[in-house]
Amino acid sequence: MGLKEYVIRRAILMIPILIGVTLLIFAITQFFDPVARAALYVDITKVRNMTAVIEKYGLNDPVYIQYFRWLSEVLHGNLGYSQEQRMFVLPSLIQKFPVSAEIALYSAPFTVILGIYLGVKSAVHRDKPIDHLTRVVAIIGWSLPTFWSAIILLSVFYGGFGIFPPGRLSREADKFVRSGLRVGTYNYYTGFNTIDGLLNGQLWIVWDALQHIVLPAVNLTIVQIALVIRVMRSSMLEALNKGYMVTARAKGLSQGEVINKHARRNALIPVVTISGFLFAGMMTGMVITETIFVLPGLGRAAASAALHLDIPFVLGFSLLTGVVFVVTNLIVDVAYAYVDPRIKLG
Amino acid sequence: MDIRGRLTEFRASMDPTIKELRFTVSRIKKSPLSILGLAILAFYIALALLAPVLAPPRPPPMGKRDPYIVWKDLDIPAIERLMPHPPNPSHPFGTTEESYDLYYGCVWGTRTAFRVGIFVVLSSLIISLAIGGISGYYGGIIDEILMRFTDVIYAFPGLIFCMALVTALPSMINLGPLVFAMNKLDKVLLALVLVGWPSYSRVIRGEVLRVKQEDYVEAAKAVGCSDLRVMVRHVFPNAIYPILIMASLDIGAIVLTAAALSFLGLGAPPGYADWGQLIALSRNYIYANLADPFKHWYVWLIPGLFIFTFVLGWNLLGDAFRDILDPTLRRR
Amino acid sequence: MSKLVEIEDLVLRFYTYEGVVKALEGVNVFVKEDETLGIVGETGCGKTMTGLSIFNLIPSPGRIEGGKVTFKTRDGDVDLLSLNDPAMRKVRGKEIAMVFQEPRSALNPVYNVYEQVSEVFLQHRKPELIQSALDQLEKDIQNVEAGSFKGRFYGWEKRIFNKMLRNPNSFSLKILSKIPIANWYMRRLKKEVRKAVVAILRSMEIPDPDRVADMYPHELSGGMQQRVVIAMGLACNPILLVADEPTTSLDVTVQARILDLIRRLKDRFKSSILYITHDMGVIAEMCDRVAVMYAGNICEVGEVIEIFQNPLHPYTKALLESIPRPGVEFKSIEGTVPNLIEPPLGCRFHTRCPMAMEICRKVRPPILEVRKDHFVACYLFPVEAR
Repeated sequence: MGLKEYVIRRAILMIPILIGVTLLIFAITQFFDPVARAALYVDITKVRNMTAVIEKYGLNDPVYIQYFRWLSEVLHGNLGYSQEQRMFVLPSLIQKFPVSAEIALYSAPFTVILGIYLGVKSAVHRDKPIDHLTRVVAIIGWSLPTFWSAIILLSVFYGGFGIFPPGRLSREADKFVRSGLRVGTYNYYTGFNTIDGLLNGQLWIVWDALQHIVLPAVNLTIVQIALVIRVMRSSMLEALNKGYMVTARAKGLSQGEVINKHARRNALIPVVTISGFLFAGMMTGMVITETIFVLPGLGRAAASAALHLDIPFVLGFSLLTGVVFVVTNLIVDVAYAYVDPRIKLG
Repeated sequence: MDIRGRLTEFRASMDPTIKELRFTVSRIKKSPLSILGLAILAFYIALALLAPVLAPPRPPPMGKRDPYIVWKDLDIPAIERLMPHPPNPSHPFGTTEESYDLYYGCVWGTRTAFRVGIFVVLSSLIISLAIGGISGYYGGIIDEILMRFTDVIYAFPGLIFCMALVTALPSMINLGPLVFAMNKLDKVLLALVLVGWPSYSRVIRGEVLRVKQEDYVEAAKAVGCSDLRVMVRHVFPNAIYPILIMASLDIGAIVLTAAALSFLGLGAPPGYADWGQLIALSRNYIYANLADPFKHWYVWLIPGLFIFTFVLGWNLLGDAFRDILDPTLRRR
Repeated sequence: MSKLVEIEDLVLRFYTYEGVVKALEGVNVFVKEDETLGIVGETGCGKTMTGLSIFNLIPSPGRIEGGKVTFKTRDGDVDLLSLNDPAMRKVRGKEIAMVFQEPRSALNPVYNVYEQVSEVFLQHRKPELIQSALDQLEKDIQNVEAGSFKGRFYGWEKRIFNKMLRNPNSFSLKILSKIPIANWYMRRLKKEVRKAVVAILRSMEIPDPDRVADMYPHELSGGMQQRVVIAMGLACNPILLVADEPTTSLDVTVQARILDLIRRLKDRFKSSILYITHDMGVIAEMCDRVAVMYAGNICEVGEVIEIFQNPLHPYTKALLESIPRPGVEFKSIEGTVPNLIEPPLGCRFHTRCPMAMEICRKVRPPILEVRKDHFVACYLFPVEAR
């Protein structure tokens, strides 16, 4: 079976899970009474005739009918109306997405690359000082409550040194962007401040945005990197014991070539597997990080919505993360097959 | 055979086990990190057990009947009560907004942490042992269905699903004759269990699958042992090791998630002796003040330190056990 | 014939949790030019470690504590154990090569056959490959107009290849080879490497070597995998090939073919072989001389015919007698292999030897030439008066 068949097979297996995800979210909605559930379809503050709405969306109908109703609404892009934000859920998600994604974008490479590097070094120099130091740092990072490390970072750097402020942009930068958008001199190409600033030729905005991204990205990295280091280290230790290492040395290769070419390539395979976890961890960390650093992203909105019992947004957000996670896992599976030839060729 | 003979035989048969045990203990002694982990946990266990002694509950009106509700210092005049106060003789750790005593909260919070961690992990273990065990042992269509179900729950990032569940779960569950009332903390516990069991399930199923193929299971079946006996006596004891490691590491993660939920306001109710909740109480005072950012350091640093070291202890222990129990790393 | 590799007084110890394992205690053995020397013994007697010591690739916690491994290279005699790592790396894979017991684990599962075999060529044969690439380039230049685009391109390539010859480790070349389009010139080199890889695979009697080169190890059968491992060993025409039980993990019919192949390859490549095995039958088939090892010591060395007809050391005798034969009652050796953390004093075999004497328990017998070209380490045999 070639790579293509493998991908198709995994994609097909994904479908029942996606359906299951929607079922689960739907099941949760059934905990609420019909009036609350109406918010999943319309803006209930504007509703005059609630009974008509309930009638229209079949909110008292049998469960399976409701499910298909709801599913079709979802597939048409209607995820409900959020009272708290006073806008529909899907546009809200889309609007807030770039904020969260930008931080993830800057955090992920560090997590992965630095984590792999430290994991390899740790395994190769096992039980030496560098190994112990790395493991201690990793375990501390893993034990830190995300909100606690965020508070510490904020207090020390912003409170103490006055650098890396919270929020997304400084006040002047924000004013500039807003007025630019209104007038038409500034365009939101991607919603990522660092990229848009570049594309609009305003480098100072990029610089400003970066200053606001540093701490949130560092916060996410601190917690995630421990996992990468740990997995990389243990898989590397395993690879270093394998027979092909002796073969490679007997061929006359240097220690560096043997480690980097032979051992590391094998050891990376389990790391690909945990990429899904890393992604989930990032989404989780985002909730807290955005709350502390006051970033108008998905995480903070979700936390606030949960607090204020804004069900449509909470469920819409959960649905989104569920779907994204499943798709991410599919991508990870494909990457895994690509990296390990034993899988792709059966 | 006489008693003495039996005893010597028994001792001889236990000899390799004892040797292994001694080796494990010596490895534990050699690893400073695992000793640290054990020390931390011992400290917290002592703290939890001695809570009523170290921080005696105050009678009403300052305290409440439930010792897990932190007492408020009503002696402080009402206007000043809203602000946190730094550590002073009557409040060793200071007070939070609304003048809850931090010291009491932190000490009793230890008990809460243990309760939350152990309850959630044990419940998740039981559920996942059943599901993962059946799934792995019987295979086939049962396996497929159970695994798809597990995958669906697994598809949600933990905290986010917890948030959804906590929002959605009603305060009362009505199962015919049984009626459960749930306060906020109970909802959190239930949500954590529902979110947590899938990850164990997978591992258990994997281990059961692996052990199922071992020769001694075939042998037991060939001799005529019933399915249950095979599962309990042969499969589980050999599949359990990675689970134990996972569980001990997980207690730390559970406590972290619970603290995060409390911090967001979705966890224990205000005034409850829960570390995350204590920090959440004073959210307004954490970073409001730019001129003197560390003015109210005690409000978040102290409870946070408790959380951090508690989780650290469990993680160190789990890590150490993983290293020690890993057979490939044992002999060097 | 003169000695090619001589191991003298090799002492190897493993420092483990349970104690110091005295794996090799003063091993003396030599391989002559153009011969196949077999090392035979039970599992754990130290034969693999002896082979690995020649490469100085003893895994930790092992350490070579003494002895010399004199190797007669193309440039003179050298003690391999005294070489530093960069110097030793030039020898490994080029002058001496190893074939391993389990081809499945000897090959890296994430790289295909071409990638793994080409590694040996790129490590040791780069100048020759560059030269043949240049020769090919010259021919191409002659077939092309002088001022044309191709002509100029070839001219540029020629400069690069000449630079590679003169200064293979130059920094600028390293960078250039990483830039995507600029490293087009590498294609020519890769073509030469590919030719060499396919050639060596073909000489291993691998059918359809071009196709096999692109396959991954797990796609090949055990016999094919072993051929690939042997190909990696013989790629640079080493003077000595150390074969560590290469056929033990294969089934009997495949084993016969591989042995046959090794024999023919030896003639063709003119290497000496150090053949490590526990199978006396293989020794009889493949080797010119044989060394019998027990518990880290060499007991007896001699020509194969001589050893089989006149085994002197009690252990050798017992080994030969324990070969199962139809119609003859099965005879095994009494006792078990000693614990090498606390090895017996004196001759390590004395606990199981039916003819052990007082002195055997106290002092280790030196290995002496008792008959012509027949060495024994046993007090039963005084040196023949010359």
